[in-house]
Amino acid sequence: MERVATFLWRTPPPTSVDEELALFDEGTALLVVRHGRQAAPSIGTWRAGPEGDDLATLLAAGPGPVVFDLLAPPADDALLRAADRVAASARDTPLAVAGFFGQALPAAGGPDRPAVLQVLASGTEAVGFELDPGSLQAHYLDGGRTLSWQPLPPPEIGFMTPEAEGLGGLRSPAEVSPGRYGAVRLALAPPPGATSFVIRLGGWLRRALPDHPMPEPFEVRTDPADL
Amino acid sequence: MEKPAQAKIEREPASRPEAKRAPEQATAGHDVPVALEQAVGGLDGADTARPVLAPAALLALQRAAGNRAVVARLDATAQRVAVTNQATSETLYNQSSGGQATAAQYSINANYEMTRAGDSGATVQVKIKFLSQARNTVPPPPGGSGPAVGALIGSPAEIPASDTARRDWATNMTTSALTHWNGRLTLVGEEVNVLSANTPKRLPVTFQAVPVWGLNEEAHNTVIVHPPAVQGGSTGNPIDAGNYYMNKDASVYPANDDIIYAHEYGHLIGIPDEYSQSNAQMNALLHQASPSGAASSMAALDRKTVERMVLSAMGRPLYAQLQTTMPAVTGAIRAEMAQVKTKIAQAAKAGVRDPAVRAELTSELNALSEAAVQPGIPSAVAFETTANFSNVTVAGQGVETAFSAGAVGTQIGDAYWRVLRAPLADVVNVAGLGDVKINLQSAITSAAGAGTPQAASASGLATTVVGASPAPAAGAPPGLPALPPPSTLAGQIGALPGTWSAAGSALQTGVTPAAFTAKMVAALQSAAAAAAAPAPPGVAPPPKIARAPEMWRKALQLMTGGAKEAARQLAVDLIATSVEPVLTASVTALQTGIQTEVTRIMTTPPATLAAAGPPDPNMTAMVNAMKARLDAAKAATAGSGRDPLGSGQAAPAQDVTYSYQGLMGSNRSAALRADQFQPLVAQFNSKLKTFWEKAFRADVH
Repeated sequence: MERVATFLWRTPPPTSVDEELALFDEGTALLVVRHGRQAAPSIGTWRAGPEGDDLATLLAAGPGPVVFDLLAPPADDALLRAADRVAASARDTPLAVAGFFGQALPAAGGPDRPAVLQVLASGTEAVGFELDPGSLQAHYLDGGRTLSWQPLPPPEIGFMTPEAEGLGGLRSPAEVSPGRYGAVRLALAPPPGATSFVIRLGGWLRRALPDHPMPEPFEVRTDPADL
Repeated sequence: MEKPAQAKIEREPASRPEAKRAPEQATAGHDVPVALEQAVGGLDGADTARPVLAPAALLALQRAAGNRAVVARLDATAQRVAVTNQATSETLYNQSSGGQATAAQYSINANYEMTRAGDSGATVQVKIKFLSQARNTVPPPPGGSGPAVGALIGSPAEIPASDTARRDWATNMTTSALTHWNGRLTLVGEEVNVLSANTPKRLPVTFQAVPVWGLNEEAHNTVIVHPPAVQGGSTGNPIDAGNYYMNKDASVYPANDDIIYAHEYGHLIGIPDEYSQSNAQMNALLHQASPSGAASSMAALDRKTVERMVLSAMGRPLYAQLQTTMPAVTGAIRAEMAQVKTKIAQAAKAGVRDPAVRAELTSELNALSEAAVQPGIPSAVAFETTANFSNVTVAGQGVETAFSAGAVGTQIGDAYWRVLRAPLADVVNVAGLGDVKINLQSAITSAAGAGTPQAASASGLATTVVGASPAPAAGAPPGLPALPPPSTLAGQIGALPGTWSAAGSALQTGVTPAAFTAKMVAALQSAAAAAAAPAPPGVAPPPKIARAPEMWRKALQLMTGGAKEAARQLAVDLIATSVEPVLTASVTALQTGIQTEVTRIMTTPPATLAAAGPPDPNMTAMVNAMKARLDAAKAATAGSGRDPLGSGQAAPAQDVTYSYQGLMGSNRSAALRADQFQPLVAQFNSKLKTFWEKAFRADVH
């Protein structure tokens, strides 16, 4: 299948939203989220089947890429609204999606607080990604306020399932099938007063689009988890 | 990637402002364009004013009583002027369409007071009204309309006097931000003496910010201070000249608060941004910063731009070419799998008996089991780490997984793509200006794709660099394709496994019992943590182990799975450690080749160039094509200056933009330059320089 139109939602750094909607000649639209504009801690590919006026509008704007700057949306936003509708409908149908979660474990008595970074795949196909081992950070919160943050040491190994099966993701891609989940154990050092934490991680999402198998950077921030 | 001590800077520019305030948001402090107050004896001492001598009177005084008398007269004088509504328009190429950067116009008004205290110094003071107001954080719903993400919503309100934390933060922040301005600027001039040598003068400039809290109080500019519950860097909350955040995401804004707000203070005194600039804007900026060296600096930057364009355009063809050689490359690597299995099996046999592994397995089984079965755990651990542990089996399984043709091809292909992209983010030091980042738009990334005029040249060059597997000889038996020549990237990667048996190789030094132990412990920890942690949404948590046979099975599962994954990770690390330096060296050599050709084409006189003959016609074609694109962009924007949209000129879309890295650019350093103060110095010379003084200039430390 051939790509016929591309739409990008972007913001300049530092927020750096990076979402891409690719429309293919057989009518499929694939939404790729590498750094979402919504707070959901998920990356990957979602699928939609645009029809009618929206399909016609998107086709007419091809091949693009058309970039929507979310901080300065176009005055005539009919195209943006059509692309937004298709993107919104795609979010109901994950194709190859990885969701990330942080969870604290009971204190083990040592100086560090054990925790896990979990990944859960959803959709109908395996999602491929690789961690940037130097990207892991823990942000410590008190209520909604960030107290401090801490770069986490590069993990020794990739994601492991509860059954001790390796999913990979460190120096080689993880290919996580839908429904599977794994974790990497982390050692946190929360400051006094911290009540919750989030994990910020980056890496590379791969095979997100059939005509672009190369890895491209992603960034995710997990939802706050209680300490 | 180099990582600063406190922050990771991955994307460019992690701490720059994203949005400018709309002109109507900048509060004009005064209606009078310029007010001149002259006071004697103090900055506030209008009531003590004494008559000001006219220039003719000063001249007469100098002739009659000498220069000292005039100086003494002026030394006792403090002068204050208001600089108001100095509209600063700027054009930034921070938009994008069709794979190119497009321009938008922004403006803020510089409003401040400048005071001269005789010959002892000058002060620049900005009164900032700090208020409270929310911003929209929700994208307009599909099909709907509403404020854009980041737009201010509702009405501004005073920060309550009881909110001392917010008021104190604003006060402290402006004070600390000013540390990046104070001590940096001195006005240098001299006073003309008729009968003796001129008197040199140096006036250090002090920058001040005065907070104002009343909704209707007079101020030079207005800034919203967002409370701790709103995080700067979250959706809809970028830090900019009109929005300060007590709580910011430190990984989004790795620079310290004082650096970030020092940048914003620069806008308040009228200094524009210096990021997302076209080639013509950079040319104008260079002429502003270093007139005498601008031509050579711009020529050097142009050459570096073309180099980056060629490397960017070659990315996809090179990646695709490596894919064509992957069967031969992975075949060569897989051919050495046996010795890798042996080495990892040896490491596993010793490594798994390390007390750390046993302690971790014991700890994890205890955490996963009910108390009733815990007494049997030591026996299970002892059994599974010795008699029941097959190091050869787990090593074989782990290596087979890592060394499968698909896994090796993916690992090497992905690594090559990242190495190809990495140099594109490097900054360039431009003489007379400083560090500049070259931003390439997606039109360049795809400039040599299939169907483009450059496709054949790019493919040819990619074949030269990466190599191509030779066609099998007629009648040759079926098998893996042969490796390309050793001068090529694919040939070099394919030769790497042949070095693994040598002492000091990656296999011999990287695959050790200690390395296996570290991986094994980490695997056990992560697997157990995956089981012990609250399951992700939608996943049922496993129950605790209640029976001894289950505990023994779990011990076996953890040991087998953990050891296999440890072996796989060691094998993956071996490939990465071996291959990544070769990939990096290849890209570095390619960059050198591009640089040589760019220099040859862009600095050699045409007649000499024709006589020399191209070293590689494909490289020459790629360089010429990218140079032509840059030349076209330069021609289309020639002479349009720093602010084309503000001066009514065209601002056509650009393949390339530039970002200065200093305080007023991408904000990745606190660098300031004298030329940035020229408007301020002009105000001083216009309003505060005395009759006897030559024009002052800025001296930045």
